[in-house]
Order: sequence, then C-alpha cells, then structure tokens
Amino acid sequence: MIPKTTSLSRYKIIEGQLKEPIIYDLKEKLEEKSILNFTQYDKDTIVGWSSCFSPYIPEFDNIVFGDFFIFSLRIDKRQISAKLIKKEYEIAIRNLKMAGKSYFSRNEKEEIKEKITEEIRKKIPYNPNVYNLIWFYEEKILYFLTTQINANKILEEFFYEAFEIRLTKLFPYTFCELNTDFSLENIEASSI
Amino acid sequence: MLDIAFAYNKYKFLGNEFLTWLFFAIDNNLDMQYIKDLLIGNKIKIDKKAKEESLTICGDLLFLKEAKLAIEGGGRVVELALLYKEDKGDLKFSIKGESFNLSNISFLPNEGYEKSSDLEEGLLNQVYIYSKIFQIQDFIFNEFLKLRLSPKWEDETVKEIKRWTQKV
Repeated sequence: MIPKTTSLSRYKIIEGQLKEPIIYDLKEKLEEKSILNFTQYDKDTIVGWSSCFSPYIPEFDNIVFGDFFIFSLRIDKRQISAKLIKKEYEIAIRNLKMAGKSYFSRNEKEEIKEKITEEIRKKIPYNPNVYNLIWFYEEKILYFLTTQINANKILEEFFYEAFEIRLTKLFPYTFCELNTDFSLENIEASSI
Repeated sequence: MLDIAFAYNKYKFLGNEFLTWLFFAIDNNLDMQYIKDLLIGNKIKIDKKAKEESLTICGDLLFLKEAKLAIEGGGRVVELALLYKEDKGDLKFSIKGESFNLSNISFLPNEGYEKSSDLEEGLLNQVYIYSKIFQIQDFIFNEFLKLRLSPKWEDETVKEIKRWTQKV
C-alpha cells in the first residue's frame, strides 16, 4: 500500500536523536512500542507503532526508503455509545423491578450503570486508525499524514515517549524561529 | 522561543496575511520563482474581520471578484487552494494560513504520463509531491517574510493590495 493522503502536517525535530546504528535503534524502539505489544485493554484508546505496508500485523523490516523512514502511528479507539448504555440500563432496572425490587438509591443506580458500562466495554472491539509518517532523519523533518488535531497531539506525546525525541509542529511562528533568522518580535497585524 | 500554544494564536494573522498576499501576488502575476507557475485553485476561504464569520468561495471565474471584495471589507484569506504546473502534470493542494497544514493534495498527470506500478517508485513519487509542495511554500513564505518585515510592506505593498481589491 502506498501511503496516499489528502492532508498532512509537518514537524521539526528540536531535541533528541536515535542511537548508532540508527536503523537498528529505530527498529528496536518501533517493536518495543508496537501496537501489538499493548495490553492495557482497560483504556478506550490504545496507541502504538505500526507499518504502513501491513498496518494490522505490523512488521518493521521495510521502513527505510530513499533518505527517509516510513512507518505508521496506529490509534485504536473503542467508542461506547451513550444510547446503548441507556438502553441496557433501562432494561436492567425493569428486570430488577419485575423481580420485586421497588426502590433504588442514587448509589445503587450508579453501581448498575457502572457495571453495565464495564460489561459493554469488554464486548466492543477497537476501531483501528492508521496514520502514516515520513521521517527525514538527517534533515530533522517529519511529515505526518493527517491534520486531525487529536492525532497530531497523540503523535507529539507518543513520539517522545517512544524515542525521547521532541517534535515541534511547523506553523508560521515556529517556521520563522526554527528555519529562518527573521525576528517577529515587533511585528503586528497589518491593515491591508 | 515563546510557548507554542500562545505563539500559535498570537501569530495566526501572519499566516493569513501571507495567503492574502499570495492571492494578490498570483493574481498580479508577480515576477518571483514559483509564483509564475501557480494558479489560484477553486476554493478560497476568507475570515471576515468585522462580522466574525467566514466565507468560503468556490468556483472558477467570478469567485475571485467576490474574494477581493471580502478582502477589501477587512477579510483575510485563511485557506487557499492552489494549482502548481509541473512538467509531468499539475499539483493541487490547499494551504491553511494559521497552521500551514496542507490538504486536498492530488497530482493530475499530463496525458501520456505512465504511472509506475512499482511500490518503491510509487512511494518515492508520492513523497516527492509532498516535498515539492513544502519547497514551494517555504520559498514563497521566506520571500514574503523579507517583504513583510521591510519598510516596503507598509510603504508600497499594502497600498498596492488595497488598489488591487478596489479594482474589481
């Protein structure tokens, strides 16, 4: 699969680097934080690295192309519908009433709701979202192939967690600060 | 360096002014590298300063006039669709002013262009497209910054842009 996209955001690496030999270090860290190694299934969002060529069964043998690395960030989400909880809750209350219970305290209602939510959570599968990234290691530039704010935020945090490398998104201010000698100190909006 | 979230909001205007100027530069066929090969695409999004609302203008010809009128009324271009003519075909993309996010990226090959079925070649072509768009954006933004931070901006360019918006 060729990572086509219709949108992308760009990052600059401002702190940290891989250890030599870099490809070995990168593969090791990708495998360590591979989406398949995730076990915290009590969370509704799980995050890990994946491969853009085999995103559902990630392998990290094919990550070097030209002068860049290519792999994916996978964000798997489990979405629990509020309507489903309400439906199951109302059925549970009706069943208890039919069994002879006529009064429910606020705490009891809360407990029933929590129990139902937990039961539903265990049954709902995670929905995988794959976002490719292209990393020009020598240039310290990274293209992230989505502009979704939440996915970008997760990338920034997870990238640091995985590689101890800090990214900064390139937008007008950071572009000036990191890529040019221009100072924006005294600039104000113009009256075009 | 300033706090990122604070700086993002503080300098939003700079990206929007850049796109407004770029619209002006392309429409006036400014003699600058890349500008001569750029065309305005079929969408311009403008934030109307006074009315706190945005206007998205789509179309082919008349919409440019409408966009200029909105700028004359104090609006700024916040998203601009562009088309860049290359030897092998046209690159289509949109730039968002405040974030520099790129969207709606596509490559429209010229007739007779043979698309590679090789995975690596296809991937390299795709990455070439992204890099080319950033190369164009970086060059033009650098040129804009030189102008924007010089006295020429207030002395000449602002007046030229005002004259251009009035000439509908």
